[in-house]
Amino acid sequence: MKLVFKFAIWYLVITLLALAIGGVISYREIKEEVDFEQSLYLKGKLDAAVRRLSRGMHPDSLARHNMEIQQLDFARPEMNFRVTDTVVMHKFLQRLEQQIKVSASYKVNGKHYYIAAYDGMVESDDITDAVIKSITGIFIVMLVVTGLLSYLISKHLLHPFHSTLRAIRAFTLRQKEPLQLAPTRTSEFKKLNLFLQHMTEKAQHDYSNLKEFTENASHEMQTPLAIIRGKLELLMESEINDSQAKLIMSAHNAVEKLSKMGQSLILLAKLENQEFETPGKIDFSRILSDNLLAFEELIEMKSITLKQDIAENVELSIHPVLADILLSNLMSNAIRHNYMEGRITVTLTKKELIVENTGDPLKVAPAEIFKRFKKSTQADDSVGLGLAIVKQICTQNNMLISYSYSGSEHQFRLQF
Amino acid sequence: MKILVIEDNLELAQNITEYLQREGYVCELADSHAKAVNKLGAFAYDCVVLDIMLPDGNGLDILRFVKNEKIKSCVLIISAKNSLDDKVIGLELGADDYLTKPFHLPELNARLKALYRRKYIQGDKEIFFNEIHINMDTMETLVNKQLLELTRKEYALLVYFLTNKNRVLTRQSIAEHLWGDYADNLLNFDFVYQHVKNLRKKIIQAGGKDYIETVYGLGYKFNANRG
Repeated sequence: MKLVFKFAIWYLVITLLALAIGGVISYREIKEEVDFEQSLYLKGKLDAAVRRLSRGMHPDSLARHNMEIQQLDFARPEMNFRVTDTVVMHKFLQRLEQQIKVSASYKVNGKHYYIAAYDGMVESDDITDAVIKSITGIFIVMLVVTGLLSYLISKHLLHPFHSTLRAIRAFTLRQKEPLQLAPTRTSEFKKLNLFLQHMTEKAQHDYSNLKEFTENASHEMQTPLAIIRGKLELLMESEINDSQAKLIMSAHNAVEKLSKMGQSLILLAKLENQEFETPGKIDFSRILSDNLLAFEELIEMKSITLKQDIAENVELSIHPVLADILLSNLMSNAIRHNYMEGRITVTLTKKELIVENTGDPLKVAPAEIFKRFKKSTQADDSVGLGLAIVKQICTQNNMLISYSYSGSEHQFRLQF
Repeated sequence: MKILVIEDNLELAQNITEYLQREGYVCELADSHAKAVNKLGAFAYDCVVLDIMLPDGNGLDILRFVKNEKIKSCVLIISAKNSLDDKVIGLELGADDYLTKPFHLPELNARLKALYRRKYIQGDKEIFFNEIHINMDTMETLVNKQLLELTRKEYALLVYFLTNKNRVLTRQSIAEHLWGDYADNLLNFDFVYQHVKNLRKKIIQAGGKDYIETVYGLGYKFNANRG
């Protein structure tokens, strides 16, 4: 539920409460005022009756509807003027109605009379009705107005908030520009925007620092590695025995591996920094065919059967170097994790590329396969970055890559 | 062949010069942009091995200098900066070849020899070694005047061996020479063994000597002194 509607509901609940209390108060006020006016009016009636009695009128002729007169013992003290409620049978409505009654006793011409008058010009349930009706009316108006205003307020007041949300959603760490937020005069949103700007700037800064570090570290690694490799190669040329040769070779292998890893990391950092701008559409079918040709020998060496079904003129927007890396990583993966006399099937359509190969099931979870340094076996000679690079290239070029395994066949599906 | 190595890392430069000197080349060293320009202005070199990143300037400027001054050396760029842009700019500026650090020394040697042959020994692109005769233009290989049916890879392997005679060539360096970037993806180097085996067999069948020996644990060596 939108925040503004939550606010509106609370507001309405409070309004309802206030209206209920207000209703009771106004009921009381109105009733008191009406009662007071009515008692004045009835008192006038009593006074008129007293005047008539003093002129010698017989009390019975005065006693009519809404009026009582009784003669009391003269010795009794006079009763003061009183206003009370009474219940009277209504003449027309034929039901008991609460009415106001005034009474007092007067000593007129040596006689003591008790006189009471009652009447109900405005009954209290009429007041209740009126109060409930008016409060309901007010509440309905409030409901409509609040609903409408909530909508408008949400559009207007929360506009900066929504635009901030949109900006945050569109924001990625990789982008070079800082987060741009629309200016606002609301202090809460100002605080929020300021905080977000600081946070994203810091994140961007850290991210690019990390990238730079990876790239520099991998890059700076290459020179010492080149030196070590060269020294080892010079050492090989000298007079050495078999056990020395073994030592040199394993050192050499380790250097090779480090060097490859460094190069792969540089490539990953470059990919993440989006250093490869897509120059335009390329003929993916041709690059794929060239790639398969380059791997022909390796495929033959493992006596693998290659089945290919390549649609012609499949054009994609991807940097040609990246397309080549992508395909050669996928292909070498398919060869590397294959059996002798296994099978590789490559299918290219306008929509997708599927590379399938026979091989043992994975030792890591399928979801982990595209992560860095995840290998099926630790003894594996590979660096463990090939598929991470594949994944990164796909992400950069809006392609979807997925992996599945069924019936001793690994399948990589690349959707364009 | 006279070579100028422009490289600011002394260890690396020593590796290169030491290796190339064993080949009988005259090797000189410049560890800065200024020294390199001085040397290039004063002396003539057949080949320049050029590092792109120098402490006092960009190696590409030296390349521009070489082209502007019409210096007739061939230029081989070596760079740790495996950037496509460098490669493209370097080659567009007229560099003859590009090698990414870290490289194998036999590979550098083979590239330099190829450059040298291409540039200076025009019309004489042949390699003679005892009973082996290679015509680089037609890619024909003769052993005892008998034509050898070599695959492209076997041919490239033989040329690589002949340019690095009496040197230990590791399986990695052979793989990288033959397959370039794809060598990164190779699980093991069995296929190097396959190619070497086939090449040896073909040479011996044609009556040639078995020059290629296995260096235990390391790789292979083309032993020119055999027989």
